[in-house]
Amino acid sequence: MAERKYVPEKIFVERGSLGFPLTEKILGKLAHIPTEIITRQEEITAHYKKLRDPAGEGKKHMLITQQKGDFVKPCPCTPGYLGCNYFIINADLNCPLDCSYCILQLYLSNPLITVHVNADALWRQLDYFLSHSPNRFLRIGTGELGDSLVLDHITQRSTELIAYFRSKPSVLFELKTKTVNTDNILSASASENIVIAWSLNSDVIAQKEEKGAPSVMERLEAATAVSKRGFPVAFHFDPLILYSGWEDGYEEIIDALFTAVNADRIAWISLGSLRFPPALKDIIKNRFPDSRIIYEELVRGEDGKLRYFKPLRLRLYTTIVNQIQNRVGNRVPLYFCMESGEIWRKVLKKEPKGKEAIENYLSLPFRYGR
Amino acid sequence: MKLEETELNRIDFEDDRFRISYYPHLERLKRSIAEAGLLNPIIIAARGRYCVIVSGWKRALACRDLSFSSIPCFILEEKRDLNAFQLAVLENSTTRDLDFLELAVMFKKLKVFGLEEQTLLETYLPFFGIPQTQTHLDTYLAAADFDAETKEFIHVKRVSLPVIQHLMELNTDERTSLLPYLRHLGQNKQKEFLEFLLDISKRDSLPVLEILASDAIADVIQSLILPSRQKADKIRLLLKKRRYPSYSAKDDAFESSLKKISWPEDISIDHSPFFEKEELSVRFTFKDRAEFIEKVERLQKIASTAQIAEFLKSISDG
Repeated sequence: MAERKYVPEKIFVERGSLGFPLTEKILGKLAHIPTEIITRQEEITAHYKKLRDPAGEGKKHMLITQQKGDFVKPCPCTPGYLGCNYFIINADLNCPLDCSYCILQLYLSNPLITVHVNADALWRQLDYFLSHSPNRFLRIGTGELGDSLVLDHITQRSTELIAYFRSKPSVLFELKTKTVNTDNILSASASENIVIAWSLNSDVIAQKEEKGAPSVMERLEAATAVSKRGFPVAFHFDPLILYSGWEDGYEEIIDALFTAVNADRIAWISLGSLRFPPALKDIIKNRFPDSRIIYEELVRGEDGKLRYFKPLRLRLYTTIVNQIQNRVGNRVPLYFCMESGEIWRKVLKKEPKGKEAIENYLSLPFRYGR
Repeated sequence: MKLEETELNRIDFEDDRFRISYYPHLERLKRSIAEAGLLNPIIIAARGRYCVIVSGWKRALACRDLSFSSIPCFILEEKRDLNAFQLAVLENSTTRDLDFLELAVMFKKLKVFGLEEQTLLETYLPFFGIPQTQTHLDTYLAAADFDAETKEFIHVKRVSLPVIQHLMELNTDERTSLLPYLRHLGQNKQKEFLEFLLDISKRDSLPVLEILASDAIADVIQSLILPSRQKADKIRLLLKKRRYPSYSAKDDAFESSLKKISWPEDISIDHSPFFEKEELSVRFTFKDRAEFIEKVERLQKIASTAQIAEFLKSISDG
């Protein structure tokens, strides 16, 4: 599949965001795209909320604005399950890819592809945050409220972030993507503390549920190139999804992964099973009528989100972990995203004592050499 | 508007173009009118040889039931139905709260009379305190097209929005088949019933009526002993079992294990919702020290058996 890079159909620029270098860069690169100057973002976001498909319509348009809140936040994880002390950078919001299971579809207050251009505030906040977190090996990344690289051909955000974090060796910085938009990464100098990560899934799920995303093989090709460039890479099997034939489907990708990438260059692999707030179910039903993922045995978890009934999760995780460990043993650190201590204990045979323990477990190889 | 005493036989009661309430309770109104007369004139408009009621359907019907030959009416000169109906909407909305179905019919008629959906969305939804989303408007417009039986059900049972949205996913035959059971359930159980059914239908690619015709459910439906309320709840539980087979199997195993180990009936033992947590909880009441000791000793005795170890392992193993 040829790579299709995102181009918005229209750009809205908040008047107060004009003049920022990133605004100028975007408007320069997308000079052929109709642009409208607005006073406040609420002027247009209110319109999208009324539409039949706010999430789908919002993806077509870009909003250039400023981050008025905090760029850097602790990853909220989910109540009742083990967190990993990760921090997120909310540089951009929303994603033009259209994955059926994506939680961002619920963020109806602003469904537009939003770029926060006040980078000076980002660097200031990062400086402050890092200076107030001494004696810790922090893990931080973009990619929580949007794909880290999907806009990179427009914003070149990765170039600046990599340049910033290269000089912060006690911080593990992660860019997380489903795309192959890696030109800027491949032209940057690698650094051991900068991890480029891909979300992976089985081919069947990628094709059916990850509309607009490159195939898994293409993602692995991109990961190979980035790894060869010298960056550590990471992979997120999240969300793992049950379907008829899932065991073979995931095994195929795990095989392909370890054929494509040297396991010793993999910083970590995370596993998480499908989970979402109940309100997302109707959105998936309406926006993706052919999807069947919401009809599996999903029950309310401790956090109120729908997730697979625990014995099904255990089987899913045990199978995937075995498939990984049969190939590479314990060479790659594995962790769960938003899971219970019981799942950790029963599948990975270890139960971290809190989020600091997971933070240590994942950063240990970086602190003492890999 | 002119006020005129109008013969009731000049009013076309068959023409309900401006009517929004179809389930009037007229008894109290009739008693009041019989005693004090019609204090608030209704609004009518000339259409062809007759007049049609623009606002005041209940009052007009009550007067007709009371065999009045004429009533005071305001005569609206407006020829355009949309304008006349917008007046009726205003009049209705200021005198009482409108229920879901009345609003649904009102929005539908406004649309039929030529009002743009955008205006409904921008003006009417917020006016009635409804979230300004296309999904909400779609739900109201779809409900207005429901068959009479479903509409009556929605009106009488004050059905919730999520249930109405589930009803939209069914065709008329399916809805008609389900209403006898849904009528006997509270709002949460109505929602569960439909959610289980629709999920199974999508998951297994089976028509809803075929699921209802499955052996276990058909047995319940055909039962001559079970009252309708119990039938409705039994069907809901059967649907739940089919929707969540692994969970139901585990729950059944939990219950049957308790029987096998003769767990005392006066001490309750519960697992967490959907067995998500490993912990079980035990609860009992006691009125004095002796009863407390007696129950604790019984629990200790159970705790020392091999069966309880096996039971706990089976819960933990999943």
